[in-house]
Amino acid sequence: MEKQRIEPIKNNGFKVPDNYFNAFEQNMLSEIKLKEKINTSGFNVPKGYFESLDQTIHNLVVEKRQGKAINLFSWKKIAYATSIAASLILMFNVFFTKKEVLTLDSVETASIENYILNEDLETNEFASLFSKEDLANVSLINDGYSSQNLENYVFDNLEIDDITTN
Amino acid sequence: MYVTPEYQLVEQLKSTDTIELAFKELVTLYKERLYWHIRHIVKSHDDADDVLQNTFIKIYKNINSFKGDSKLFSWMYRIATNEAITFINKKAKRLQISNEEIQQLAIEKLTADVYFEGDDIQLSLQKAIAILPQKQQLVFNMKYFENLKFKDMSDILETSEGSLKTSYHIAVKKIEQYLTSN
Repeated sequence: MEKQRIEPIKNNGFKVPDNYFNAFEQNMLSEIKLKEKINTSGFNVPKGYFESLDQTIHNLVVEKRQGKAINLFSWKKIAYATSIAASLILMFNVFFTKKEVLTLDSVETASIENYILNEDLETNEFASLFSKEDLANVSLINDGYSSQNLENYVFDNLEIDDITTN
Repeated sequence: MYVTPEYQLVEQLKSTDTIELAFKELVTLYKERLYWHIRHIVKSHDDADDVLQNTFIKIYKNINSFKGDSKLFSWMYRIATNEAITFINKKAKRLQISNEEIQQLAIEKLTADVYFEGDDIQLSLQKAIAILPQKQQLVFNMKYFENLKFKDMSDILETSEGSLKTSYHIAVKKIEQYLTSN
């Protein structure tokens, strides 16, 4: 019986990333060089800091477990109380205070005249404020003005175009 | 069944009867390691003290939510890292400056800091670290000063070991260049 020969395995199948050994060497050298120069950060702590730290943390934890101290006069509570008080005052002012009713009689005539002048009302706008009945009741047109005076006023103050357009 | 000391400690921390003693043990075991981890991030002793206290409070409050998916040690380091970074971010926001500027400010203060006894070259190293991106700073400090294994760092920072190794070597190169040119 012929013996089967096993071919020698030349390659183990493992691979490394490209440039791995070069990079490895450089990285190692950089780190070693740096560590030779500087090995510690230079930071320090106050004397006895770590010895007292256990107690400090224990106290904090106990404080947390027992719950926070509740401040009776927290700003939130004060804000709530103030808004409730303000709402009540506003409510009393709105509903329980007698309003002063403004009537036309209580306004001075001079104020009305000033208002009409300042508002610069057009004749049409002004006329629209009166109904026909209101105008019929106005008696001033018939009083105190003679035909001659009216005629003179028209001739002196109005242009013919004004009369024809109106 | 063999019960690891860490598993035993976690169980004691989760029980109301034993939490007090177990927590004391936890603080004794990890206070220095966590302190130095935080100190390398925030630089000042006072800030490191504040962050360390907050870290332990958080560990105490959240121990019941620790599922044991990672090591207790990695979980605590992760809390400490997050607390330190949050502290820096809040400080930057309060002073209305960037995180990089906060780092530069912390380094400038080192010369007057009584708890920094470094010489010129150590100060230069801190300056070189401060200009690295945040992830590279973390990786460099954890490997160079704290001697953490890449595998543990991978658990803490939730990043692959390969990526961490690359970050570390890049950081070493940048620091070497900075120290040569300065």
